[in-house]
Amino acid sequence: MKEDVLNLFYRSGLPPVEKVRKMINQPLANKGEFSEIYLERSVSRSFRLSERKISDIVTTSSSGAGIRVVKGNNTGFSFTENLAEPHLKQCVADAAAIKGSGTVPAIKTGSKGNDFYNIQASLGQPAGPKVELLKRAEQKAFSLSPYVEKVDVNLTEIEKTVYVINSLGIEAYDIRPMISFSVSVVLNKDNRREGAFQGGGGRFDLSYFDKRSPEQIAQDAVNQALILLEAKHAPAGEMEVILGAGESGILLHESIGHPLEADFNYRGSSAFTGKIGQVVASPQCTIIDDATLANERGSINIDDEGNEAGRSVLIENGILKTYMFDGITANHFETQSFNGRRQSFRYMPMPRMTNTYMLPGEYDRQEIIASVKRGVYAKTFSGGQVDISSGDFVFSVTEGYLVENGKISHPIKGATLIGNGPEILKRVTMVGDDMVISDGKWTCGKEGQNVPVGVGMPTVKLSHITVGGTANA
Amino acid sequence: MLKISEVGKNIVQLAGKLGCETQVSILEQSSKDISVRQGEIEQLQTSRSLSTGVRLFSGNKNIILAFSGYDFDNMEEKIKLALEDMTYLEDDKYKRLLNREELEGDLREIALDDGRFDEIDIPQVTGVLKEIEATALDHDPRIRPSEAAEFSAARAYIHIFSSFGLDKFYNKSHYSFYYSAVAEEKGLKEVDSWYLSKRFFEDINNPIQIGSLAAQRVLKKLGGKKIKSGEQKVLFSPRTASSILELLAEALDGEEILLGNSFLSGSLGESLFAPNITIEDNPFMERHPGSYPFDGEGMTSRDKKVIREGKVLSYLHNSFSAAKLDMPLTGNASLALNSAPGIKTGNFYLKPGSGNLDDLLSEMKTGLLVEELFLSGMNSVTGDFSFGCAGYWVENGVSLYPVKEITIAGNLLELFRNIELIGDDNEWKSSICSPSFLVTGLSVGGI
Repeated sequence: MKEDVLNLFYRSGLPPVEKVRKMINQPLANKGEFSEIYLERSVSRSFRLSERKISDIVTTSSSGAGIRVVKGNNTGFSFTENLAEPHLKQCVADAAAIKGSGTVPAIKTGSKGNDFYNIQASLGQPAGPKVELLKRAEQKAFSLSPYVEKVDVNLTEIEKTVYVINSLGIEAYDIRPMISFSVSVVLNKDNRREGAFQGGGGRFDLSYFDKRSPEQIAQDAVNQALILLEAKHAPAGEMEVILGAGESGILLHESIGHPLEADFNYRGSSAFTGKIGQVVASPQCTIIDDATLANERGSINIDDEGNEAGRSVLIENGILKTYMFDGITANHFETQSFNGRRQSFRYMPMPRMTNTYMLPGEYDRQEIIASVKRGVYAKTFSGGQVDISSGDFVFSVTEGYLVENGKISHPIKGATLIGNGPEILKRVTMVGDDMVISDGKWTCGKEGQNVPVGVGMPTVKLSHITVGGTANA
Repeated sequence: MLKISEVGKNIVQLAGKLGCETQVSILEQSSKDISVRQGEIEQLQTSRSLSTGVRLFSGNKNIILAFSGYDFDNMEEKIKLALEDMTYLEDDKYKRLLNREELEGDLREIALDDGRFDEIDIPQVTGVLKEIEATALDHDPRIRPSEAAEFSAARAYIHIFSSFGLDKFYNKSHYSFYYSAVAEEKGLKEVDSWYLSKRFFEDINNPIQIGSLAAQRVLKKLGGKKIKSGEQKVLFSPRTASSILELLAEALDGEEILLGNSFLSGSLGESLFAPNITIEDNPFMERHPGSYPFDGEGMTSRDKKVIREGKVLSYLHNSFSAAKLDMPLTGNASLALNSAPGIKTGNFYLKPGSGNLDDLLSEMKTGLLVEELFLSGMNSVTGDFSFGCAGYWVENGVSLYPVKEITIAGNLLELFRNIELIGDDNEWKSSICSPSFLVTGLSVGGI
């Protein structure tokens, strides 16, 4: 397997691996210096159905190497798309131009060959059956409601192969498949129009569709748009809020996950800096980041610095336990790292989340809803954002409901939830027993780098959070 | 070393030989990025990359092949393999390459590249970054050493070719300094940033000041609180007004119109906005962020009024959306390498009125000044929005205290109808640019 991976890079002109090892060791003179080459080949194929036609088929490929030379806290980085020896050498020289005076011990890495995907990517398989998947979703969508006006379906398959060699003699590789499928619809009912988007996927081959069919995804999209057509404007002001199971994990990702990435804490810019060991959440909350879940979008066998993937308990029964680290920040905090991720060989790694979720609690969902006098039930989300330093975050509810006297009343639209990371989990008053990982559609952006992630959540009740809508509270 | 001009021509010829037409787009980018933290270089990055996008047409069917790097071997095989997918596509008469007639037109010289990328002196820039950081830290003891001061230099070379004789290129350069200041008081932190961004290095004046500007901004934010929910007048600063204008540009995107994703569908010729709203899209402005001599399909750029005195005159189109909606080309195709061309603006701006932010504050008397927006809550189909925001509560034209963790909500169409006053304080930092403006009656969600 390792030979197959290397052959892939040899075909793109990579010199023998023994030579590459020597090359990256060459700029190192002093203790406390570290160097690394990250080789990557990524191929993708995507299909789009738009305006009732199979409209686009796109095939992409890219390969290259990112080279880092680290001296203490200082990093030199360069990349090349040409793997031939002179180009790699130039890259090493550019990266080694970093001036610094490092004394930090070298980065630790290791891997024992996990396989959390256990599939062969279906990327190379014929296009015919894939095109059928798109058509099935489209047909289903139009069949469900006379109001369906537009249907857009996308299928993307990616296979990314990475091979990391560093100056500590560590070598590790990973072959990462990814499939994503999405349906967006626009409905028009008496000139009132609403759109909806549903998607899913993960580190699967086409067997993903045994789990959730194209028809199911289409139906979920149409249903959501139908609900929005009937929705009333969301209220504004502070109130009780129920976060639905699954997609509400975006709340953890934004409000807790990002501020717990160790680079922000190493620089002291996070709202959670210095809070390890402190109570930051209700005792009902235990929050995990786990790259080892089977086939989830955020799962990886090794991180992008060659470390075996891992699982961290970030918050345990309300107490902050740890941050998430890449190699440089792990050195600083004298711990292990396995959350160093990068968008591609064109970027340096940094601490990133993988699959982030809250462990289930003891309450039944119905019990949680019944306990709310007047509030909002937030079921699905379109995205969110956080200000790392203040901890303030926002996220946008696509499908939500007003809850009155313990019962779900009518759907609402246009609700935004805004709160503060260090405060919000202290307001968790009930945690449901129904934790699910949201079907993979999430991509996390940080400092211009996008990586696939997973999020998960049980049904959770917050005592109060500000809801931003247009109707009067 | 391969010459890009020959690579492009070769692919066009090869495609011809295999019986299809093509547009080949090549983008070569170089960049240098330096960050300084606590007085020393934290990260130094240099890079050079080449990306190629090939759109292959057989009649009105279109396959896209994209790859990075200099891997131009076996092109014939790659194209043949890609062409096998043609059978799965359905004919779409609106999908095509621009013909010779449409590609005509003299290219206007626009100054976009100062030719100084290679001269960037890393020690000199590092010195400036150190001073930016030091200036911020010296400004006030509440400013904490945290994020790095950053510099970025980039140069891009864009060359596109087609089977219809297209063979055009241009260069553009870009330089920026950025600093994000973190302040802490009573255990609570805030962050705010400032930056300078120019196409010509010589246009960056006094970069060291961004240290104190970022520091001043963040200090003012300390101690922010919520306000009561209700309807308020809202004043958007140039930074947040530009973000709002960006959403309007998205709503004018021809492909979004086509897909029914825009609340401005079917609004052409309608006087939807107040007469004080005039919006122009101009790709010709010298040294400006959104300028380009030709668009992603090779069409010569053109400037246009998109909205004149409240009336919607034009959407922004690529050839596909223009043809499908039976409207004239506007020269707004974006250069897309791994997808069909999208749509981009040139320098897209709201025509200024008069007065700076302070003047508008005095006019507003009481209300909310919005300095930051979290833009995720937009329904593009209806125009309904609900955004997280932060800013200042204003009474008698004076900012009284910082406000945070609140939302503003409304409808974008209504918002642009209810712009009462427009300032003249626009700053060209990105291709979409607005002066500050005052809006009546937005719904604020707080306590």
